[in-house]
Amino acid sequence: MPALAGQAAVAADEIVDVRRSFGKRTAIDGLTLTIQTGSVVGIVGPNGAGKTTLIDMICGLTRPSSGTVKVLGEDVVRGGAALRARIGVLPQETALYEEVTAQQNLDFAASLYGVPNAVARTAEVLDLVGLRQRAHDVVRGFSGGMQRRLAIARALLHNPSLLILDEPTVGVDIEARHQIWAHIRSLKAMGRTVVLTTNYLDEAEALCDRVAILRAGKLLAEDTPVALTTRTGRCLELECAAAGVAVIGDALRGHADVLRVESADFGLRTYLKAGVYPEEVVHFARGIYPVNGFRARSPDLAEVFRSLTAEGVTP
Amino acid sequence: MIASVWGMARNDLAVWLRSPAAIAAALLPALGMGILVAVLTNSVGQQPVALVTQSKGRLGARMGKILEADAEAYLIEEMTASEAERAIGDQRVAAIIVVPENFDEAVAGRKAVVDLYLNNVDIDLADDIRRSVARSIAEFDAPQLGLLGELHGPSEGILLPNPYRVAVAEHNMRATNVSFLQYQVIPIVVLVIVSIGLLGTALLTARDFERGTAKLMILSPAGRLPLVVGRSLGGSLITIALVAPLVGLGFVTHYIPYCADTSGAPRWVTILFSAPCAWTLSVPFWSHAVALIALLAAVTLTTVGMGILLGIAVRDEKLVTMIGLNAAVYLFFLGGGFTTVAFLPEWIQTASRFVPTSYAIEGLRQALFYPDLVGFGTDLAVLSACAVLSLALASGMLARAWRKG
Repeated sequence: MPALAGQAAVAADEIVDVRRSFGKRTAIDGLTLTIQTGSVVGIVGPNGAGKTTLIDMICGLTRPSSGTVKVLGEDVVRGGAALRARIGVLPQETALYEEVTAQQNLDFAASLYGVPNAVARTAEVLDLVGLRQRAHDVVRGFSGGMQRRLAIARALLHNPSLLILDEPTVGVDIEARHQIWAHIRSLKAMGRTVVLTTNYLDEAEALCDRVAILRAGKLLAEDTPVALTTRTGRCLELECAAAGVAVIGDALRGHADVLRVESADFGLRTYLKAGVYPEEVVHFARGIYPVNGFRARSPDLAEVFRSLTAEGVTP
Repeated sequence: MIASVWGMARNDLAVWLRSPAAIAAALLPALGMGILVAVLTNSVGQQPVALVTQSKGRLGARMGKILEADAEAYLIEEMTASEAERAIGDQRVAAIIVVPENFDEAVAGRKAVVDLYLNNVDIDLADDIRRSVARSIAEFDAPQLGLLGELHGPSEGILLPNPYRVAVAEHNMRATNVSFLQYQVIPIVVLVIVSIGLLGTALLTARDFERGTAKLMILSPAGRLPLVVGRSLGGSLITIALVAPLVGLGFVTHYIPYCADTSGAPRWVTILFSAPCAWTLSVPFWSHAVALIALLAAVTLTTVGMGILLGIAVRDEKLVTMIGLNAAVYLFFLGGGFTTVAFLPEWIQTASRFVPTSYAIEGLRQALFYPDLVGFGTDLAVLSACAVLSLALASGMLARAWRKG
């Protein structure tokens, strides 16, 4: 079970040893995860990793084959309308009625969720996502980013305690992506618990307090982005001639302080164990073949992901 | 709950009214079928015939008037002999009826004839003209055997003594006569309801699965009952919104001179102006208004329930359109859309007992055209049962399908 960040925090969701199969295919395989109240948690993984199935189980659309899923303190399978009223969902496909206006979309959602003082509340959420001026425009004329923002507004309409965003920035341009990030950050500032799935590791790194990495229905790792990158080790890039790549690479693979070695167009990329000084490894390499230059830096989440999925690390 | 139901219904109505292509897909085939039936009814029921009255005598003129008066049988146009010859040569008329110059004298000598020049290319159409001319000639001597007798029922003691030894004593089962065109309007009205109710609701449901709004609905705290009731109400409102103006215009055209049968306006003018709005529906008796509304509600709810079932089963907008339109046509045909079910082969009659539209057509005809409500109770009961069954099935399937979706 992953270490819990902030022991004093209250768990918003607890997923314990959950399995979900569709016929012979296992989508989620013995997954355990705790999500703290007020945190933003990213679920990342390649296509088919089980992200959407996990999200569907958290919001109650799909029942686990075994194990328990508790959301906001309630068993999601037994939780009824009262629990659903406390969850806001942004589906991957935005699920908007394109034929009608933004206001009509929100009016419809307000009627389903029984939002009190709906007129004022719809105006408020439209303001929040910067679409107040477009309230009476037909959604079909909206850009992809505007549609995403409207869908976020709809998910927030009933003031949910838990917000689930399934790939919130998929298919939108860079500018819209950053606008959506800003909205998610503002939600975090408001103290909401947000669970988001994403294929973009920079998105998870930029937004999330904690990141859960899935592959083939299993949880590979779950931690803060900083802890995950630390676990992967400091990255050391060595510039050398092509002839040196093989000999230095072979030598470094046998080095006790080196976790992993990859070839790169400039030479070699290596990942060092915690506490190892890069200069020592550079000195070692220069003893084997000339090194023209080097650069030490922290790995990004993409490298962490690559490292974990390549090695099948157990959390 | 009421807010959720109304919210769902209002949203469905708003989405549908902003979907002109879907409206056209539901309405145009039904309206096209209506115009087709009107044109066919007109061309089969009344054929253009030239009347040449060469006789200048009183009896010849009377014979001509009797022939002209039979507007139920043919569309008579008075012509000269040469005009009539050209018209039949050009196939603008199906026959020429000539009242000869010596008609009055010949009647006196009991040797009178009316010449009938008939384009007998189609035995069915030719027989219609033969029977009609024979009826008019019979009416000349015995009004009780002609159109006058048919319109006024048993004639003993009222009209002239019957020169024949046998007379027809007609006993009408219904107090009103309904034109064939009016009779055929009802299946078209039902077709419009089926097309919009079934196709409209099926499209809304299929789209909810396609664009993911079904997921949104099931994740809301509204619960399945308000969702199903709301969808049913929405589908019904859509149907009412599109059917009511057509049916309303059908009633209104009763009062518009050029649409009325008695207006004397050319038939094509009547069809052109009134066919798109369900022609001239007879204004129902006040006592029948409630029955009519109940039946229309039952038909609408049945088709809406079937639409939800279709939408769930198919979940693809294009496929729903294709299947929905085909289903509407079969329901129209098997329900007696083209002709009375009793005149169809035995196996179709058996099949039609399981088709709700047959009860809808029969019930609507009864409520609209006749002073009594014979058999109406059965029609309404069957349709109400169909509505309850289809909505109950739709409710179960909708909730299950959305949860899986």
